[in-house]
Amino acid sequence: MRLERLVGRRLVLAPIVFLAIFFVYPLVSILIVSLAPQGQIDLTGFVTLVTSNYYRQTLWFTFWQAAVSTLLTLALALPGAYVFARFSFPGKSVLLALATLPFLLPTVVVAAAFSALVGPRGVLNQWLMDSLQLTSPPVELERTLAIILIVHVFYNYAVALRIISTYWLNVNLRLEESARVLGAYGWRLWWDVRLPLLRPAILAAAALVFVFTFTSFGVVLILGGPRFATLEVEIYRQTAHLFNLPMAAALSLVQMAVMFAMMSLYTRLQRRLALERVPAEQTLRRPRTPLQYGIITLNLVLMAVLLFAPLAALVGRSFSAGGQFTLTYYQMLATNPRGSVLFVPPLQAVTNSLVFAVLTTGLAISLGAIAAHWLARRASRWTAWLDSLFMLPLATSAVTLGFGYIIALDRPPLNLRTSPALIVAAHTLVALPFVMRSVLPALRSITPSIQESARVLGASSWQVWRLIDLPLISRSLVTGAIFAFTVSLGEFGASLFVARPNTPTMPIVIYRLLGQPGPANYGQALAMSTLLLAAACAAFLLIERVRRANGSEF
Amino acid sequence: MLAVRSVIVNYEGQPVLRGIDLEIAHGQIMCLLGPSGGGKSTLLRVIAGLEAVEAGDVLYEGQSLAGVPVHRRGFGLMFQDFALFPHLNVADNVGFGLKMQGLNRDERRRRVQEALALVGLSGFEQRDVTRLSGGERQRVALARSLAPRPRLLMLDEPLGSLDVVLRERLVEEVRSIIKQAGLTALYVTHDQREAFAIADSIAILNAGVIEQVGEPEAIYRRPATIFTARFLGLHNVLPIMSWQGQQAETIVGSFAIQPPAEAVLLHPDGLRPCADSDSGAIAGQVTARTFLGDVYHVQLRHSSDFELLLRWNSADGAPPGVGDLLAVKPNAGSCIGLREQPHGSRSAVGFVS
Repeated sequence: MRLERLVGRRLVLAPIVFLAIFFVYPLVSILIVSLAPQGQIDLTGFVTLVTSNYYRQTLWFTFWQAAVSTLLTLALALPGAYVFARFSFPGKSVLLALATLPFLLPTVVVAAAFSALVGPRGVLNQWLMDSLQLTSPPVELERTLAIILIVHVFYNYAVALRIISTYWLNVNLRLEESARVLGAYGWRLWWDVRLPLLRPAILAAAALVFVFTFTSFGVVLILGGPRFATLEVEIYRQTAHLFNLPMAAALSLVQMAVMFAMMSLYTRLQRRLALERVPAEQTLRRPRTPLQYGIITLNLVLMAVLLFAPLAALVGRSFSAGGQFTLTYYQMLATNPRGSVLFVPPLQAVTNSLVFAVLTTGLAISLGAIAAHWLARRASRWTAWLDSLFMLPLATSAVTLGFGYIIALDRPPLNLRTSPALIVAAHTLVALPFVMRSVLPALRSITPSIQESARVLGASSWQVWRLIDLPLISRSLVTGAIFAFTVSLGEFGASLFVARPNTPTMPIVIYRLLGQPGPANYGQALAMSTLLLAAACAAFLLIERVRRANGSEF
Repeated sequence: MLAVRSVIVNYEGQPVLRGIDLEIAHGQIMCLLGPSGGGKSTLLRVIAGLEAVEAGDVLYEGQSLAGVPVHRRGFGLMFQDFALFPHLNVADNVGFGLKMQGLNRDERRRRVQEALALVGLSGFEQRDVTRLSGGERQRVALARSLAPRPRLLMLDEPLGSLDVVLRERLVEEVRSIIKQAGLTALYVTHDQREAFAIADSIAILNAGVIEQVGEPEAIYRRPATIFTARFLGLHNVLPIMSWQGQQAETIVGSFAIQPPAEAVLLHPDGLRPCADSDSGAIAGQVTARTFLGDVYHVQLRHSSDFELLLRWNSADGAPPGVGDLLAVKPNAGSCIGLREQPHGSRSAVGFVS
């Protein structure tokens, strides 16, 4: 018994130690390098940041592209949320579920998909060139601001839709009906009743979308070209191309500050979401007027075009060369004819990615389960603090993390620079919040009297965990595991920093292939993206199955 | 024998239990009766070991349980929400405690069958607990608490979540099951009818203090404190204004009371009609008359505006109607002196049968 308790206590330390080494230590290193690159306080990095036109513009661009992306996303998602919260129509639940698919898609896959749709070598341009007999691609979206904004909307549309429509569904319809009886009609109904009621949800969605687009990395790096750089991209360039570590560190610090501010804002808003919820009642009805049919149809068409056209283009384009069906690109993945950009055949990257994903899943689930178990039991200021500490990786950009690893973990006392363990650590850190978000609510939803009953009936804490808690959260653990696996497969930002040339992951190979000229490289990039897309779809289907069997806990 | 000694519990600085003393004898069903928030459930949790005490101790057979963790106390606790394990079937729920005791499969199966038979659910072994009715879940929870033969079975409002009809039927059943199993039990409820029906002995708990301990009849016939009287619906509580020897003066007259007391209860069951001219008659106008089947509740307004309640046996014919004049007089033994605070300052004396 005593041993059991001793081990139990020690076990709690595992996630904390992990977080300390692979999260806190790298971030502190960034802080030190940015403030005192040579061991003494030296703020020239920050001075340059403020005085140099170039960095000021980068900062400004990062802000305003995020703001515009957020506004665009909300403008499109709000009508969608209205449709999903107030009307019932065939195929609705499937569609709502499908809308969350982009969330699981790696950035490189999405970048490749949009390139396959509207890029110079994409489906749309090929079709236009063929049918109009043009010599150059008429649609020039790649390397423009427009494509960045479109992809940001693609990514975040479902996020906003979900948050707002779920909340809307729970807002008592009676409030709206009362307002109508009192004379509100048309735009007044929207302006004076609906929007104010939805304010917490809209603000929460806006904060989250802003966070996501503010940290946009892969999309801007791949589709934006050299003209555009967010903070993330700039950190990468300063590190990988210019080896200006103090500058990258200074940028990372700014990045972290903004992120933490936004995330704490989001957390506060989210708490309000929970508080202001009214018990759900049957608020759905079938559309009746032609206007309502019109709104619904318009939204569905928008979703179809925005969400599924790029993915369809990606799959289609990966199987076609010169208008013919072909498997060439897939076959080429197994070879490495000139061994130029990559030291290994692309297919090796699939194996690498799978191995990393399996290790990540195991580690994230173990650490997440231990931490969640520990946090679910106790409610104190101390645990509230730890709770948010475990969520912090979510608010830290993968690029910052990867950069932190490079400056912190490539020298004694911990020299892991050449070790693939660094990739697993980075992926685990990124996956951990997803696991916690999945497991912790499930653990907390277990009525205390159930655990107390077990204890009174003679179960020790270990037995309560094994016989009661674990079976009750098994579905959430599975969901968390699938999330961790998928996150690991698609992780790009941190991997780009820490992956060795001889152990590339799939997203890195896709990125390198996309950067190379020639239809063969392009085709291979699309083929590999399609493989990742298939994996994400499989993960999505699995999660949906677990979710459905489980009622709706997520 | 279980003994609770001077237990004090605070929640965030607020006292929940203010020095509880209580003893439960073997084979006895004791009922903790009191309003919600009075500390009943907290006391159960203290005895189970789920709640830490500020001061005081819980003893079993004279041995302190202070260092004994929840899972080694060998007590049973049934929650109001039943807390059935949703991932286990009926048999595995009932057998959980037996498994913890290390019993082998066959022995477990036998004991589970036995427990289920006791609660009238034979043949339910393989059923899914999430698909049972409220009454069935209650029985499964009871069987689960009974099966390990706990040294003390505690039930926290075990019928609270069921509807009234079911509750009335189950009360008697629960009592006979506990008695058949020969268990010592501590039963928490806020419903006096439930308490009267099930208990050998009742402890009235209010605001963290035990107001009175006694057999159900004794508590009902002779409540000791103003709170107990009011809580039991005995509202004819008259503050004592002054004493004339053994005579306590109140707003409606003077009554022979054994001091010390701060108020007089005229028990509604012991008020009988009499002539206006009788000495000690309390006359007034009937302001309300409610027929409740076996009795009428008659509300009488005295000239001092004090409203008096009397329970009128309907077998004795109909009472006077609203607006009629009526004079009543308490039976011998129906004038009861009440204390403001329970006897013995902040703690109450235990009761042993």
